[in-house]
Order: sequence, then structure tokens, then C-alpha cells
Amino acid sequence: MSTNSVIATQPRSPQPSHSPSSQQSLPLPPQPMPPQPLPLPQPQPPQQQSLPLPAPAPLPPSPQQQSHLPSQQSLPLPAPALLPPLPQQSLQQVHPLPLPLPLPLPQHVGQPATAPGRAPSARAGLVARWLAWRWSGWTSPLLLLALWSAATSLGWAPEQILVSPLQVLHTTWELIESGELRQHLEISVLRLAGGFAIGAVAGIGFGLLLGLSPGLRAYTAPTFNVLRQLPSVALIPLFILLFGIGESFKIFIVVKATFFIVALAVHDAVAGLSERYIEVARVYGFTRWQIVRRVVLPGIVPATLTGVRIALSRSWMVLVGAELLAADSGLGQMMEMARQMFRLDIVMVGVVLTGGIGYALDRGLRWLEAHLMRWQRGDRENT
Amino acid sequence: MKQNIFNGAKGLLLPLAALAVWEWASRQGSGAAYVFVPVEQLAQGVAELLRSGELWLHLRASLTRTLQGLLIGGLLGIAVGTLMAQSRVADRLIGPLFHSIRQVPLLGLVPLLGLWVGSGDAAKLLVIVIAAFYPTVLNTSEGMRRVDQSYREVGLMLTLTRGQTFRRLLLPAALPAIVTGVTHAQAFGWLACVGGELLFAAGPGIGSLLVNAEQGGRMDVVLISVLAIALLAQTMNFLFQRAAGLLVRGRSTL
Repeated sequence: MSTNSVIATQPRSPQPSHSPSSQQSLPLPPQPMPPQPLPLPQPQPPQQQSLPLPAPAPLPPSPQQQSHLPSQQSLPLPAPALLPPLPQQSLQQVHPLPLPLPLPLPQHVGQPATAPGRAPSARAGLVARWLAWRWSGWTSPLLLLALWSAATSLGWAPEQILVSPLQVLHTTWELIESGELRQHLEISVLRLAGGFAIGAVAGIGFGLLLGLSPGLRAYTAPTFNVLRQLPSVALIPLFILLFGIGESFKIFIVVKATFFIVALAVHDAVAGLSERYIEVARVYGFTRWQIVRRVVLPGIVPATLTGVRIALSRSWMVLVGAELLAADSGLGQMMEMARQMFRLDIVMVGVVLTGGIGYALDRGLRWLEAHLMRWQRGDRENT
Repeated sequence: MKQNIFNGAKGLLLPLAALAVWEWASRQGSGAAYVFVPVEQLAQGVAELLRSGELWLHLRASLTRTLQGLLIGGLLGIAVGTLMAQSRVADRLIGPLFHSIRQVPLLGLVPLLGLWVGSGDAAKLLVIVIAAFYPTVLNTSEGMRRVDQSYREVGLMLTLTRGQTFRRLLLPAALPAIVTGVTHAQAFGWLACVGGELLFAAGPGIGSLLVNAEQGGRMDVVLISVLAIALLAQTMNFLFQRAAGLLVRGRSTL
């Protein structure tokens, strides 16, 4: 792009200089020329003097002299004082150029990456326009919705397999109206919030202690590492046996899912802190508590937040699983009941809701991460 | 880990204390013994499960299911990931659907799958396929997108066909990322296998053993199953990482 436009501008610099007035003043240019390190600009004026149509002449050498081009481009710079019409004209002529250029170029650049052999046909233009369209991301979801509606209205599939989108909307409204949805949603979110809060606080505390105290590490690390390996999903039946199928089991399974992920993230963050920070703090005579507060805690914030975010989405999945397996209320139980009654519409509402909640929680924590880490963005703006 | 050997005695203290408490709790009447199974009964349970071959039966069923699911999900994931990285049209079409479906927690999909494909082996396999699919697609497309433009230009210069470009150029360049994806897929796949077996109808499989034992109140079997699941998860993780290390040996990671 840049080389092309530079090449294109080059022949134009001689063209305006055809005006007799500029050629008459040519004896003067050698004075601004000497500071120019290039010998090239000097041969040009004689050519222009001798030939009225020298325009193509400068072109042939230009490919080899691309490196000199920038300085050639600077030729008009000393000239303006002598040739007022030149920059105006060259500007006018340069301006229209970039406009037609972008059109052929994307085809050149884009073709190898996507489709090597495709000719720039009307179809390709259509696809490119579609790709550039703001809402093109909605194409496939809308297509799917259309297909779904068509399939249900034309009766391609039995109702146990596929219910119409309208029916799902209707069911959603019914569930909202009756307050059933709100009740399930509330209890699920409450369980998640309770278990997650306990697990995250305990995890941060334990992870900090584990990272800071070698003594505690020696005693608890092996046990911690073994327990950490037990998958939360597989522990659901064990917790049911231990705590019964009441609320405590669901809270505990969320606590378990959260605690180990957060504790490990915090421990790793503490272990990964640069020794230098702590040394500097010691030099300044910080007490142990001050080191923790001023050095360690701010230093582990990013890794902790990442760990917390992963823990949150993991524990949401585990909670839904636990509710599916054994619960009397909650989103998971709503879906499980609906499945047993072949109410596909309710199941779909549940699936969309669990997905939406998971997404919202993840987004929220990401936002929090970005918000809390905005002081760091100053240094890393370019990375 | 190695410096822990020195502290091994300290590390053993907590588990031993827990064991002592457990043993003490199991002697506090029959109600407690129902939950806190005496240690000797645990050992008997293990011996019984091993002798009857029941544990192996269930484990083998789960393992083959996981590997099948991994194979299908992984191959599908690599294919879709490549497509998304190579074609902007495919990316724009598949991307929104993929990323929105991905938001649903895997176990949350179970009731829907149960209605669509029943609750038999097919459903259990499908859960693993989906679990393996997500990370493979993400890592494959990410890895392929990061393939250096100069590689592609070399491929163009050598006038490689699409198949050759994929096989000779993109696949090797994106291999580390793909391998990472498959390693994640394996971890998720095993969990999904257990979760699916817990939630779908009974059949051979370690998850079914687990849930049956829970319903029958057999704490010993539950504990053994949980330990077996955790142990296998570790083993598979180790093996996959070893294999991954061999595959991408000498390559710079992306």
C-alpha cells in the first residue's frame, strides 16, 4: 500500500514542473539541492528540460530505488518555496489515488489467506460485504431460529423432541407469572452465593497462609494436594451420604469446588511473587504484617481474581449437577423434573437460564478484574 | 514435591489424625458407622470389589467411553477449529453459536440431551464428546490463527494445495496449541464421563457404581470409587502430558 502510493506519486512530481515558469527558475534549485544526499534528483531536472514528456522516465528505476523513495518524496519539500503550484497539484493528484487503491488491495491480501483460487466475482463481493456487516454475527442464530420454527410448524419432529420457539417463550412467561421460576432461581443463586463466599474467603485465607508459612505447608500441603485431586462432580454422591440431601450438602459441594481452586491460585500467586519486592520491603523495615498488606496482597490480586472466576464457573456447574441429582428446588431440579415429565420447553428455559447466569457471572468477574487492574493498564497499554 | 520428602513425616500427620478421628467416629454407635465406615470394612470392600472384578468392569466401561468420546470430540473439534481459523465466513457463522452454547454448564445440558437422545450409552457418550469438543475447538482455532503469516506466504510461494497447506504447514505449526486443547479435553472428558454416568440411567460405568453405592448406603464403595476416579484422572493426565511432550518435543510453544 505505502510503496504503491509512493511510486504512484513519483511520476507526478515532474509533471507539474512542465510549466515554463518553474523551468525558468530551475537554475536556482541546485542551491536547495546540495543538502540532499541523493544524486538522483539532479538528473531529473535535465530530463524534464529536454523532454516535454519525461513522465515515464523516472518510473523504471524506481523499483530498485525504493529505499531512496522517501527522500525523493521529500523533493517537493524544498521546492514549495520556488514552485508554489506544485504541492497543491500533487496533493490534488495524490488524494484521489488512495481511494481506488484499497479496492484492489484487499483482494490481493485477503485471497491467499482465505481462498487462493477465487476470482473477484460478484459472489466474493457479496461475502465481503456480509463479513463487513455489523450484524453478520446474528446470521447463524437467526437461521437456526428460522429452521427451528420451520421444523416445529411443519411437524418435522415429534413434540417431545422439538417444541416451537413460541411455546418456549410462552412457557417462560408462565413460569415467571406463577413465580416458580423466581423461586428456583433464587434458591440456586443463594446456594451458589453462600457456598462460593465461604469457599472463596476460606480459599484466599488458606492459600495465603500456605504460601507464607513453610511450617503450615509442610503439615498440610500433601493432604491438600490429594484432596484437591478429588473431582467435585464425583464427590456429589459422597457428600450426599455425609450430609444428607438437604441444603448443607449443596453448599458444601460448592464450598469444596471453590475452596481448592481459589486456595491453589492464591498459593501459586504468593509463591510466584518476586523475591525482590519482599527484599525491598525488608530494607524499608516493614513489619511482617506490613509486608503482607502492602506487598503480598496487592501482588496477588490478578491471579486471585482469575482463580476466583474459574472457581465460580466451575462451582456453578457442580451446583447444577448436584441439583439435578438430588434437590427439591433450584434450577437443576426444575430441569430434572421437566425432563421426567417430558416438558422440553421447561428444560430449554432452564438450559438458557443456566447458560445466561454462568455467562453473566463470568462477565461480571471479568469486568471486576479489569476494573481492579486498571492501574496496571498504564504500563501495558501497548502489549 | 522433592523437598517435601524431608517434610514427609509432617505431611503424614494430618491424614493420620483424620484417620484416627474417622476410626473413632466409626465406633460411636451404628448410626455413625453407617457414614464413617470402619477402616477394616473399607479394606474388605476394596478386596471384594477387586476380587469380583466389578471395579474393573465399571472402570473399563468408563475408560473406553471416555476414550471414544475424546476421539470423536477431539477430531470434530480440530476440524471445526481449523475451519473457524481458515474461513472468516465459517468463523462468523459458527462462532456466535459455539460461544453462546459454550456458556451453558456442561451438566446443565444433561436434561436436554436426555430428552433428545435418551439416557442410554449414546447420551453418556455425547456428553463426553461435547466436553472434549469445546477446548479442542478453542485451542485449535487460536493456534491456527497464530500461525505466522510468513509461513502462509511460503506456502503460497510453493503453490501448496489446501490439503498440503493444512497437513504440511498449519497442522505442524498449530500442533502445540492443539495438543494443549486435547489435554484439556481429556481432563474435562473424564469429569464429563463421571457426571454423565451419575445423571443418566444406570449401566456399566464408574459413575453408575458410585450412584448405586450412594443409594444403597455403601460408603466404602463410594469412597473407593471416588479414589479410583481421582487416581485415574491423575494417571490419564500424566500419560497425556507425557504423550503431548513427546509430540511437541523440540518445538517452540506458541
